[in-house]
Amino acid sequence: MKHLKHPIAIFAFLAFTMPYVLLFVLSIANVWNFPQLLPSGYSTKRWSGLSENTGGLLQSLQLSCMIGLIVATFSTITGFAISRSISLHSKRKYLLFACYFPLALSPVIYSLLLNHFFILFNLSGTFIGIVIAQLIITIPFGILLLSSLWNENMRSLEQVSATLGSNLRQTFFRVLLPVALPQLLVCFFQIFLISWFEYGLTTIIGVGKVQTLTLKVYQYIGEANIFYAALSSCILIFPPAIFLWLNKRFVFSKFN
Amino acid sequence: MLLNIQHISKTFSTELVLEDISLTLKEKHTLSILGKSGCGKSTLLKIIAGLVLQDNGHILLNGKNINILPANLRHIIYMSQEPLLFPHLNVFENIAFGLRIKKEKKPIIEEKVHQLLVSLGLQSHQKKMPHQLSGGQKQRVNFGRSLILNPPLLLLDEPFGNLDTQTRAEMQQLFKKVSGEFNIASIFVTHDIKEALLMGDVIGYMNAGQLIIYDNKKSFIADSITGAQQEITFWQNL
Repeated sequence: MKHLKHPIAIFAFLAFTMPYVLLFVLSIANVWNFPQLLPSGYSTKRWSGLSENTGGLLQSLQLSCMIGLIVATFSTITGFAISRSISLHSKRKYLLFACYFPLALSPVIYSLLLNHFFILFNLSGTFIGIVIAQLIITIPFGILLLSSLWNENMRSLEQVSATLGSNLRQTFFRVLLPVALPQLLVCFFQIFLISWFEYGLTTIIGVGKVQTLTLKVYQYIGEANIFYAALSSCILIFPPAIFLWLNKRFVFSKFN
Repeated sequence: MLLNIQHISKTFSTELVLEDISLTLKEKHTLSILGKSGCGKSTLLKIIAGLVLQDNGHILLNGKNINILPANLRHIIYMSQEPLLFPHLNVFENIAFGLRIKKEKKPIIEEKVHQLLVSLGLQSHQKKMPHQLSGGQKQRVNFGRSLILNPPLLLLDEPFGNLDTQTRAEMQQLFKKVSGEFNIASIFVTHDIKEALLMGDVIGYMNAGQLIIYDNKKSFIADSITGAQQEITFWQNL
């Protein structure tokens, strides 16, 4: 706070933080009618209702966490391995170009095009179907993000490691993985966010049966239930905020 | 004879990079190879190290054909112009890297690394990360990382090319000292005539993929293609 001396800095700080404050106030407000400046009363009943899984919010939180973690972990690992194979391929330019195709289309259009196959294989409306649908987008994203790892410097480090006596496994675990770790963590975090906030694809492939937290927020907004929409938004923000803090605390501070 | 290279050739696409290269190297000797950029010096070293595969020819180390031996089993260490320290390891761990790969015992690793840190004047820098070191210090660590394994052969690809004149001179002296201490044979590639003369017990000149090995320094200087005579004349006429 001591750095906030400039009016623009104060404005920027308020612009970033006030929406969060508003969301929290809405989530604990009893009634807030226009033109009242503040809510007429406050209560923690919605928050305490979370433990009883009111409205299925807790279940949606668990579901979103599971989908996000599975998609981010799998995409980061496969992105790392495939981007390395592509970097050694003679047609790497074309293969990397092909990775842009799933990302170039809007997820809604993309899922509409793929929906037929998901119905055909009984994956529509299932947890595994959502995971596969998201992976189709996030794996190419991971490959593109991690392809910059495999530059001349990395190749030379591999060679140095080999001449110092390391076999492929030792080079992988003692050199490649630790050197790539900051980028892998960034990739994991980015993909988790993509999965976490994914709406269009989850709606179409999930056909309303897989209720992630993002879908819940839209559902409450659709019902004009601003108080529960605010509560679910607060929960929606929580895991990415933890990830951001972990990234700042352990990743960037360590590697910069 | 420690190293015996017989009729090595290498082509990249349609470009002939090495043409029928043959050379021998005795134990504890340094062969310095002078040559311009792109003449095939680095490719030759990488072939010897097992990092690039030759099209033809044989490499014999202590009489044993190592053509198909992978780089990690050759015990030949290649050092490039860039020190290329492992960025996630500190000075101590960079030097200890090869011993940890060999699964040496902890007390042995600590003893050997400390001994080398003293030899290289790096005791006070052992906890530093590579980005906290100067160019000369990085190259010292690079030396340490190679010397600790006591390899039969060290391949140095213009190792001092990026250093300033004073540091370069210091590193040349240091290399002479430690390679003598550790009884290591080496091939030292450079494009600097003075460095080639200073570092090598035997001197070669490489041009367009062909290598000439001279019997002694006099014949190297006498050959006009090496440019040594012009260099001497330049300094005399100043």
